[in-house]
Amino acid sequence: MDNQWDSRFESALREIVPGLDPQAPILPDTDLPGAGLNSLRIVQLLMRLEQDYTVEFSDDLLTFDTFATPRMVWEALSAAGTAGEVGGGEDQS
Amino acid sequence: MTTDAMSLVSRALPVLRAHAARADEEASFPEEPLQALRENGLLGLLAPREYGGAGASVKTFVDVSQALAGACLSTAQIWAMHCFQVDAVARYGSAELKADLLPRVAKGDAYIASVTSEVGGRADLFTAEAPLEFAKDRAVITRSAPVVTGGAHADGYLITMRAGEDASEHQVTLVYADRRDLDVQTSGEWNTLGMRATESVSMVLTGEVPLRNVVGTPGHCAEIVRESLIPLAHVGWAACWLGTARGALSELLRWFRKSGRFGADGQTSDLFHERLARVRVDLDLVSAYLARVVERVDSAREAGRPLAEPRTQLQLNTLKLVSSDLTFRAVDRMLQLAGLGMGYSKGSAIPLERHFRDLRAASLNHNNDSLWAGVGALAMLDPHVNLI
Repeated sequence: MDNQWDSRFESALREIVPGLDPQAPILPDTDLPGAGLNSLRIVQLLMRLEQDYTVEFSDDLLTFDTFATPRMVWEALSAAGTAGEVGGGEDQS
Repeated sequence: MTTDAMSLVSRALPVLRAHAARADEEASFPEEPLQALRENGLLGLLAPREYGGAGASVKTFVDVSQALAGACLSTAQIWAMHCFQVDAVARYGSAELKADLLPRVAKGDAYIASVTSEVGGRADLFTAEAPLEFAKDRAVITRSAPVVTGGAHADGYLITMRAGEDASEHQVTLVYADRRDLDVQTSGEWNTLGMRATESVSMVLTGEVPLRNVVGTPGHCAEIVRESLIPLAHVGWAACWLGTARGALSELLRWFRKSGRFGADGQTSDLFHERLARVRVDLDLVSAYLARVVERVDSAREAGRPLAEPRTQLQLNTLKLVSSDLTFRAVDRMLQLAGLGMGYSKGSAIPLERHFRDLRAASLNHNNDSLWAGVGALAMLDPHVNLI
């Protein structure tokens, strides 16, 4: 399932996207721009994910569409690294 | 400029020129110049032909903006802002709204103002506080806005609203309202250094409109902002500012050649020529960047490619930054070249002091500070530095 992301991914979203309800689960199709993910925060999120997962997003993934929903960000993250790298970090839950 | 656009503009230009000084002096809305734009079909320049408009390209829009701003920057900017609203409705409005509104725009009967500012908030188009409410099949608008350019004189308004009571401030809906459907209250005094004839007032708008007046997907105004409002605003403003600075330089050069007086001390010199060169170079740089961005916008639209990708947005923001800074710097240098009498004085044959005051507003109008931060952020998304 698309929403089988790890806790680091969830933490990154919660720390960087200001309008996510802390009491509610993050759903695969949550509207991230609607929760305040603007271009400045997209850059923060991108850098955070690239550092946490030791991957580099290719240019063709760097569009506003990529950051529309958690599902799309997670898919892009998966595409940016190998399947083994993504979710394979030291603090995987 | 195309022959058609030139002929439309050439009939309106004398009216703009005749009223520019008085509208600035009195800080009054340019009613007669707007009437000339209405009568010459210019309100419908960007309305599609099927609705009676000219269906013009962005290139033609930019040419017309430049020409109008050479006569009166306030009028040109009022008109250009109307054109952004028309473009958004033409691209994202419902079939019913377009069929109702765009023929009126094309006939010159509907001048549309933009309502995006909010008390205590940013005018950044991506956020809104006041919620759009719904009653049966009507959308209910209760909206105050501290700055609405030409608001007291508009026939309709394109308004940013929070998508609903439960929506976040980032979920923004764009909605169109005819003035006749609203109770409109204006207040505040527009008594500014420059851009005085834009008569930007505070407004409170209340009323109900049909649901068909919602433009685009509710809560997802960002797409319209990135595909239509920002591209048209930034090329339109850049063209307006360039048109004013270019018109001023043209008049100044003619005066130098006719009078035989070169510069403040009346002498030609290397210093005079260097100053002149710096003005000319700034205007050519803005013109080149503007032309390149317009090519990209027109070609993307023709090919159906989105503009809402980071590199294009970076270039559109860069255009606003460089055009506002460089055209103001150019007119500042023109004042230095012309001296106290011709440059700094009210009532001189060339209204350089008015242009100086007007162009000072360019970096404040949708403030450059936040745009610089935005360009920096977008630069991080392009590590290969793909330049324009």
